[in-house]
Amino acid sequence: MSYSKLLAVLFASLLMGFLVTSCTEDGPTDPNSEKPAAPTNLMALSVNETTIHLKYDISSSEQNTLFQDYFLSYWVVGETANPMTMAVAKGVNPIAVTGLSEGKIYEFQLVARYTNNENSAASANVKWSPASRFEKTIYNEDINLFERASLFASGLQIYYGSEDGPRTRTTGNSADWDLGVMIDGSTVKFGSASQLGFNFNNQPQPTFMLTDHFLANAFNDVFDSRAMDDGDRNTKYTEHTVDLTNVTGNQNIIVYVRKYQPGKTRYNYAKIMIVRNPAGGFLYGTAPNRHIKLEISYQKVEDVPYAKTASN
Amino acid sequence: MKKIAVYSILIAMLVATVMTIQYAYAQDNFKGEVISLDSYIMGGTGKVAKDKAKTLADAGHAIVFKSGNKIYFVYNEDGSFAGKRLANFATAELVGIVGKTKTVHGLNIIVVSMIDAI
Repeated sequence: MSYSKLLAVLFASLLMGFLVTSCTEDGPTDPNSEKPAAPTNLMALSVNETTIHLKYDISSSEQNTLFQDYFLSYWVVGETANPMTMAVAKGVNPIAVTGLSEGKIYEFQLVARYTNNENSAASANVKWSPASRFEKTIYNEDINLFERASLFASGLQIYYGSEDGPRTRTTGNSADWDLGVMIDGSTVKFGSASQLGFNFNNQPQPTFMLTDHFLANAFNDVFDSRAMDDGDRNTKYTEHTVDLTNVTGNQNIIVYVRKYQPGKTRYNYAKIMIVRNPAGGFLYGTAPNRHIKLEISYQKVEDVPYAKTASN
Repeated sequence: MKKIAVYSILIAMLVATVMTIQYAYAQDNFKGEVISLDSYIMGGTGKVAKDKAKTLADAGHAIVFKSGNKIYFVYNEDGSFAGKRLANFATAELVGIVGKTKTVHGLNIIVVSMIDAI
């Protein structure tokens, strides 16, 4: 074959290849198969023992004229046979999912949908469990912990099973303390009962707090996608206190807590929010009845750190 | 004469102000227990279970506070009777109240500011 013929054959081959590629890759888009981009960063919070809120970053395809809505599927982890589903209109964020059971971990899967019946190829996922929420003690009063000079209690039993809620405890009931407050001079120490500096007749059982804390305007702003013992968090629970006077800003502080209930060997997990007063500080009232105010999210089922980890 | 009247008014206003301030800050501590007045009057200890206390309070029966040998009718700061609020503490061994006390026609009254089991 001459050199010019060889060149012609090579050119023809290249042209064929280009045409074939053009037909398959760059041809006109079929509107019937176009897919939306998936939502991302799905996070959850436990509103109460039956309700979870889910928050997500919206699909970048929301402005597309084909955009229809989002579609949520969820099921108890390990029980995928009959998932529950709900359509979620554009703009609904967070999503409220109700009718759940405390202690069960649900897997939530959110996709975007187009009107051409196409869903996003990927989905946003999170595994989460609802948990009880308490804003009152078992006596239906605000959850307040008082300074030592007060008639009232400085200690907190996060959950008293017999009456299904938190209760405050004085030093006379020190064995029941999980957490407490010590208001002393210019410091307001909140944390593990054993670290507050009280002289107890009966030592409380250990209660561990995550060394990191979180700030939020309200409990229902505290979304997370990680379990409370996920990764390095599991190594960061210690018995310690936080001096609330060192917490800057104007948001409430949320601490993660875990402890064994009496006679148990597995952790129960809780999130405690210390609520700022209207003036921005953490103390309410006047001496000798200065106090802090708490709200509690508590997971009654052992070994459920709200979300799914490799070990649960 | 005018001066005396003006001074009298000023002194009266001053006394009223001082009494108001004193009343506002005259908070006392009380320790005691929550009881059913019906049960106590009928010769019992007055102690009833929480659910029973709530039922009684809902039906209009008096749930009261016993501190030492005194029985107090407890009112909220908004003037409403606090029997239903007290009923939540029926099973607590010892209850603390911070509030103002007064006697009205022989009845012992506490206007509760704060209450909790102690």
